Amino acid sequence: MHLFKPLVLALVALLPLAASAQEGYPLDGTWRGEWGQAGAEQTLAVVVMEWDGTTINGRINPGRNTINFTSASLNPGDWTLHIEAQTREGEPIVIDAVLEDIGSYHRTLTGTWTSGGVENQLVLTRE
Amino acid sequence: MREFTMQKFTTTVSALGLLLLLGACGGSDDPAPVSAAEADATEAAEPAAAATPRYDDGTVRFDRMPGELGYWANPSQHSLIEKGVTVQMDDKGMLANIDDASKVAPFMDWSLALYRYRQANGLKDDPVNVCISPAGPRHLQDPMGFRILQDRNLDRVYVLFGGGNRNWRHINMDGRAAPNLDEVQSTFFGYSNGSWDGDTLVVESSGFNDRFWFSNGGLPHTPALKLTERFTRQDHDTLVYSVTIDDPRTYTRPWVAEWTLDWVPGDIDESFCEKGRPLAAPVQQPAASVQ
Repeated sequence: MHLFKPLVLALVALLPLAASAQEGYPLDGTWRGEWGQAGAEQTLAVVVMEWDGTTINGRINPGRNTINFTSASLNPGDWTLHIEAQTREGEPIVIDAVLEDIGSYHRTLTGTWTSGGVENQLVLTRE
Repeated sequence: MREFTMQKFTTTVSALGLLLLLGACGGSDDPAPVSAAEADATEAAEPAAAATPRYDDGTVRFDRMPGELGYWANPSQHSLIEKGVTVQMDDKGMLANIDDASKVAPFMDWSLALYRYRQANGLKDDPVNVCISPAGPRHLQDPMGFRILQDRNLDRVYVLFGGGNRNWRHINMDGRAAPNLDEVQSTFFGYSNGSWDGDTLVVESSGFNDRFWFSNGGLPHTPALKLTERFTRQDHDTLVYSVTIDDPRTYTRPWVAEWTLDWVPGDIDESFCEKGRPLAAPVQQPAASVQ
């Protein structure tokens, strides 16, 4: 775990190099932000998503400890996103969020990150 | 280019008129003469448009005859709309009735929702507002118009347009294969290869990025977009443009949009795009000026 945070920070530092406007599928691209309990220390998260026409493929914290999505769905009616993933240790992660400010290059996903049976707040911004 | 050099020799209005006349009458592939009775009947109905200009070898000419001034503009439609569908919209692609949105194209759920979102917001997020290129077929519906220059020495066609960021694209005519999209950087105009189907220029393009709106009105696309465009100069004054949109990540099936454009005498007005500011007013060129 000692290497985890520096690795994430390194990835985050490189992200601006790849940042660009994106006008297609609104989830495509790299998102970064934080999750945690309100008022407590937050945990960095990087989420990468790509729409292939039928499935939203994605992964959390790409790198040595990548967590792949097991399922993901977007409801265009209200722009709500539901993601399920599982860590290598078998711990489930569930993300429920609302896509906001869709017309912005730096649109956001705001909602919850549930892991270890605990629901946390989550904010991700598209790079 | 050769055309530019030739145009320098023609500097008077009278010469322009003469050359236009030659363009209407000359060319090895002109249609056979019609009988006097047929001609009378045609003239009674409407003035006959001048014939499609051609090079000496019969190839259709999409740009000016030497000494002529003109460009393509006045699109009959202002947004991509599936052929055969009629909906009301303004020249920016804003629907008169947003409930018509689903008629415009065979959207997937997400792309229809995004199209409606953009429409409902008055197209305020349109990337052309910050001088992002009106790429894809959109530059062929730009009110400022465009030209199609055939560089027959280098086997290329250039499309120069006056609107947006006043950009250009090029179409390879040398028979090369489409690129492997895993090996090339996606771009605003993609990679275009052209060929001839009779008198129609057929252009297949792929390798687009998704950093722009490929139509007025905010229709979405993804990097999976492939276009097949067909340019037909029906007569001297009319260009028929047809495009097949194939983007399986955005639309449920390939679909076709089609519109016509008019040959407009004169030159494309000069305009500039500056981020955060509206387009500068076009600067009118003197009618008789020659590039």
